[in-house]
Amino acid sequence: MNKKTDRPFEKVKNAFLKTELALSNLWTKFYVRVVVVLAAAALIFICSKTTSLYFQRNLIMVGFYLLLALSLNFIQGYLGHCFIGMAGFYQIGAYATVILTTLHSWPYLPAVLVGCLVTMAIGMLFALATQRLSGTYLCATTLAFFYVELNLIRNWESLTNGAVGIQKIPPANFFGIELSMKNGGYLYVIMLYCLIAMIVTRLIVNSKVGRAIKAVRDDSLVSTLMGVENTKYKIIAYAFCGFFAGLAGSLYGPFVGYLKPTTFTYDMGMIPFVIIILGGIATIKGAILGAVIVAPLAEYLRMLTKSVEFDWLANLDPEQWRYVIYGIILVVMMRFKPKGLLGGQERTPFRLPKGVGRKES
Amino acid sequence: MSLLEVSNVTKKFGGLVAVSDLSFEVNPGEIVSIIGPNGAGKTTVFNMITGLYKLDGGYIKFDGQDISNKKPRQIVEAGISRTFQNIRLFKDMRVIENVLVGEHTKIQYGVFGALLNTRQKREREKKALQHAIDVLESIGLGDYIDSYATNLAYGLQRRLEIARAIATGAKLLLLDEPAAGMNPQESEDLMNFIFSLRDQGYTILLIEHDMSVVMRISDRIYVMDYGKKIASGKPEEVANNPEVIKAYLGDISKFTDEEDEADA
Amino acid sequence: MFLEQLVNGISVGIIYALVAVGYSLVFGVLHIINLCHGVIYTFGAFMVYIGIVQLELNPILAILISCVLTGMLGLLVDRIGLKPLRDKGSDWTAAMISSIGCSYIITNCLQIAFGSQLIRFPVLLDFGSFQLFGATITSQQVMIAIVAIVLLILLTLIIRGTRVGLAMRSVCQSETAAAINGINVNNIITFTFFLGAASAAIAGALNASYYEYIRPSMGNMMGLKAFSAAVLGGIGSLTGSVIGGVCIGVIEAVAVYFLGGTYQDLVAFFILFLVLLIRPYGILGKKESTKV
Repeated sequence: MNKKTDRPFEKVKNAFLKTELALSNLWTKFYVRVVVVLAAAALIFICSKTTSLYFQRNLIMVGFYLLLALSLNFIQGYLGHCFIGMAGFYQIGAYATVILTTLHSWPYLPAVLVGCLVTMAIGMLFALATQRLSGTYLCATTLAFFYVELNLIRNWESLTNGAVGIQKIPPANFFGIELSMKNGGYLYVIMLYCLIAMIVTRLIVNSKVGRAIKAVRDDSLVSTLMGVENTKYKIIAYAFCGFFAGLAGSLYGPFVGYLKPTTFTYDMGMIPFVIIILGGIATIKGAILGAVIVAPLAEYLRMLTKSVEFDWLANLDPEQWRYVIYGIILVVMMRFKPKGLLGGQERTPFRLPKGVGRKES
Repeated sequence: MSLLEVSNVTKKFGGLVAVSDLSFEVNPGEIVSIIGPNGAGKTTVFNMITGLYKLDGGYIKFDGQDISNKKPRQIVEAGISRTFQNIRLFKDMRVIENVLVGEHTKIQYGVFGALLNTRQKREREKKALQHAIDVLESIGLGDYIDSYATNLAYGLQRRLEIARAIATGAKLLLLDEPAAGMNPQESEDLMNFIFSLRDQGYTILLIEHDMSVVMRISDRIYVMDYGKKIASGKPEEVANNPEVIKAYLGDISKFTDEEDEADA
Repeated sequence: MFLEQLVNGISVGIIYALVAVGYSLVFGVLHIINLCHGVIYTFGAFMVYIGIVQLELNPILAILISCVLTGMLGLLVDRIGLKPLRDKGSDWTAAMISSIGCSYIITNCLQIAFGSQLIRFPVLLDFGSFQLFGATITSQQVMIAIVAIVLLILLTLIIRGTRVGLAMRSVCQSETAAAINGINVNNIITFTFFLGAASAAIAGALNASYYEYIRPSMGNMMGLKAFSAAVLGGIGSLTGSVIGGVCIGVIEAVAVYFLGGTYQDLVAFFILFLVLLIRPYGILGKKESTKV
């Protein structure tokens, strides 16, 4: 090894680690977090007033997928279950809310709450039913879950209007304000939902609940012998996942204006999965990074193919190609960085509250 | 009164009898070892005590209470915890998090407390964190609090397992081959460490193959073979017990007889 | 009528069985479930389609070529998607996710090439139908049965009668022991993938001929149902996969006969959940105990 060429690399790496540590220390301070959130809110405000509708729509979709990724994180990141049926929860949340608002004339917000609770309940039931499954069996069951759920929605016509779907969904109504693309309402709300999900994730992870869930992931048997009831914490993890996925669904219905059984595809359920695998499992910043890269991938591809000279490249449909690339992402990430770009061991020290520390200096 | 009373316990797996009519006891403050050839059923006994296996006969009492067939959580709450033959730490969690999981049953708040970040949750979390750090410092792992368990050296990982077991607040520690894979110096350190644990008031039940440790550390020894108790007593008694020698070395009496004849 | 429905169920069940066999083979040597298998099945059907419809080859030739091509696809999936993970010592979740990724790549490439709509597929070898005990049995169903029996006999011969098969069985039992005895474990695993994929290709051709259409998403449902079949019969067991496949086909047909066709697809999943809850190792599987 040539020491002379090593040194610049080492310098860069050390600089990177130092900034990461400094940023992380800053982030521990509550006021820094508040400032960042306010800055983000201001940025969103500026966005909603100045950027094109096209850009905003994409940003909103990033928000939706980020929320789904954050909810998936509870079971994939912290519980370690490969869950590929996210579209199921998404769909249940959307349908539950919309059925109440359109077919039963409920006001929007109570319908949202019920939608979230229904999805949460179904998630919890799924966890209960599959408590003794693990491994690939569990993964295949999550896929079967989606197809069963899809089948039920399609065939239970008295509840869901069947294959015809539900048209003319009224726009979401928050305390009298109707959300629309014009007032940027969807953008604010989805980002707010994401913020809530992030806060809840942090609260849970930094508590005995989060540690218990991670223990079930790392060694289910030993965690049982330490007194962690596996089934209880699996149910809790799925409850959070279901709740936030239902929340995403509850906003999605009014956002697109109509719902059919075919609105939610297996592929849509895979996007949060790819987001987490790429960005980093069990991290919030990983979910953000993943969502920004993966969700608008079709648009990136579109921009790429337009700027390139080759005809055949321009003829490729980005909508289709994005899925091929998702597949490639999965294979490549497993090969090189299975915990994701920002996942794996954190390089910053464990944060201790004030007044807790070592007695020796 | 004995702290742990194992009475006539039996465990069968299908047609195989892993443990047969086994009885032994551990008194408060003792260091007791269970030894025997591989497959004798020693770890099975641990699994029965800690609630992993159902008993097929007999009972187990701890501190006067019947703990037979109770759930693992109840057994941890009663005051028994264990380590494992192959180190089983929570690899993707930090050292301190491993110890905190050990404290799980003692930390009194739930999901709502965590979500609402109540004062109660914050205080109990602080207490738990401080206790975890204290345990780690007392065991010599104070420098490694932030490290991920999987990054520790082997000897330190063993210590972390013991720290995790201590953090449960257990009175009785079941150590399953704690000296496995250790060189003489490390075994020596481990032995001194176990003595210090005893001085702090813990009672220890040990499974071990390393005779240099077993002989020097144990107050009493039980010997198992084929699921049965074949000998018990103080280390010196057990070392000279012909049944024990037979279990480990086989029947060597005929070789010693021939030698005598040849000399004559 | 009921008998006819039963015969239909058996025919479909045989196709499930042929796909389930692929799952069992791969699980046997790798102890993971190849989530890519349904897509490989689809690929096989499409290769036969290209052969027969676009290149106008003899159907049997087309099927054989498809077997080879699909087998090679299976090979590629193993070599590119899974073997590097084995070399790295990754755990099974990584392999599983990688196989999901592979299924994505293949299925969407097919979709790009052929669109997502139904494509008509010609009926192969149609000699009409005949009556047996009042039930109409089509030549399609006879063909399915015959092809399946031949294929299964072939597979059994390979596994039990050849050296390669012996090597496969040893890898199933213990990779390390097999490796010590000079068996190239990676090659055996790849060969197993090849066999599983080739069986899936034949199942794909049979299914396409029976239902007279193909589409890129045909593998999704089939993959899951065949998986249910493999689990029911005991994953890792060839005979189990056959029994499981036929069982699911028959139970599906019976359910449709009595309850109507709306919930047909749910039958297989219902059985899957039931089996995984009650007896996860299936009919012919053995209970695995974990040592602490």
